[in-house]
Amino acid sequence: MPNLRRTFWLTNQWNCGDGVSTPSIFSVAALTLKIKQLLEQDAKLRQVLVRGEISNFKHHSSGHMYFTLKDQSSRLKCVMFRSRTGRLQFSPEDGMTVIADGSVSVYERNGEYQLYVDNLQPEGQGALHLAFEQLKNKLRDEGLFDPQRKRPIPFLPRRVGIVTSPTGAAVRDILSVLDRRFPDVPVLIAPAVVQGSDGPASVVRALARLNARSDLDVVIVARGGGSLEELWTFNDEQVARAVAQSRLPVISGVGHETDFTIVDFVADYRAPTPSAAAEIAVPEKSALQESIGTLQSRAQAALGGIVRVRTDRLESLLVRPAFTRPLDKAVQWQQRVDELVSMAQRAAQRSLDSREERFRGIVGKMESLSPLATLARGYAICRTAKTSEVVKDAAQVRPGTALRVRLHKGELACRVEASE
Amino acid sequence: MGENREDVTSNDDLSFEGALQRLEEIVRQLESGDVGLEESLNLFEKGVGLAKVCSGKLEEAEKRVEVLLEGDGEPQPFNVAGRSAANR
Repeated sequence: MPNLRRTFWLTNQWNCGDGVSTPSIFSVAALTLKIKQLLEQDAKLRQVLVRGEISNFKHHSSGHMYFTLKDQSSRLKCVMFRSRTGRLQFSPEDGMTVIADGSVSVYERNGEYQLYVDNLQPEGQGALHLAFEQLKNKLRDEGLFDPQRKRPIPFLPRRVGIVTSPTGAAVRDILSVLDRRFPDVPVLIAPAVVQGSDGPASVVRALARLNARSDLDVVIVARGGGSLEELWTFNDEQVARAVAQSRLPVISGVGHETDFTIVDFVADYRAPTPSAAAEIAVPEKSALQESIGTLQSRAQAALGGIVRVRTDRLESLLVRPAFTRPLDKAVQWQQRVDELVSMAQRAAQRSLDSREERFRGIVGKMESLSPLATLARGYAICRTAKTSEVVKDAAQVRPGTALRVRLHKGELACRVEASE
Repeated sequence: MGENREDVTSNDDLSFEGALQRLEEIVRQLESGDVGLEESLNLFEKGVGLAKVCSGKLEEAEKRVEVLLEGDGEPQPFNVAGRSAANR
């Protein structure tokens, strides 16, 4: 049809037909202006109430507010000028559902139609929030959030899979943390679109590709921080189900600490950020090495202790006389006996000796006292021949008396010649 | 949110964490002082073996950071792109 129309007006141009309106070639500005006028002429658009959810909210330094109102199917750019914002009784935020009161026109410079907002009123929860709650309840009721469903995260994975955007901070942060904790762990990235309408299918496919492999033990699903709209891929039902059904355990690391997506509830482990997910995925290699070393030391020390206790005991037994000199007692007794015997002998001997000595002493004395000993010394015993009276005094005898003189050897018959 | 860190045995008989746990058990037994000399020597020997297994597993990994491309080709080495505005 368009081709026919074009042909029609081309030929019409050449024909310069009258009475038929001739389409003109607009300049961009002109067309834009026409659109603007069209919109502004419509009374219904001059004061209109719109319900939608705020997203991409920016409070410009000029004081003007720029945001988008959206629902599930469509988006509307909005501006609220500073002159109007003073009326606000609340602080507009992304995710809030509001009723906007304003007029529709065109910002010619950008060729965008906009709602020029005069006033904003909040209305309960944002639509996206509502959708979030609804899906959350549905999947929870199906049991997909049950703690028992959650698989344990492998302690030491052979290889870590990551579903994320290949550009951006999330993948960089994850690789950096993995490298710090366990420098040689192998990694496989399945790149995915992580926002926008292409996001869900892309993430589902990436996860499937990783699950099809046999060399992975864990998967991290990650995306950096963003608005509810930007994270919406991870609130998608198909994505949530894919994570729930994943053969490999899934660690979710989506957004910031305070962001909770459906994928977070369904994953086997929820980490507050992509970096935290990497911390969960691998252990700290140096800490493990240290543990092993410590355990070995403890084992050696314990064994050493056990052996030492026994050698001490053994040694203390071995030094006892019973071992070193087992005959000691007997020998001691023997020795004692010998000693006693000797003592007895000696005592007997001494006794004998002393008697003998006394005897000899007496004998000796007797001998020395014996007249025979005196005679041996040269003395003689003089007796009267007649009476054998011993003569001790010369006056005892008159000359001429017969004497008998006993010498040491023999006797003499003598006569006294004179006494003096 | 589940928080289990357990061990997954791939094709090995004894996984890293299994070996480490067994090693800890052995050390506790040795330290308890309830074990006789003969048994202690046996346990110690087992412990040394387990420590070797653990260390071995830590060193097994070979660093490879790869990315899957479109199509079903083999993964390619991955270079972290510079700061990119895409997808953020």
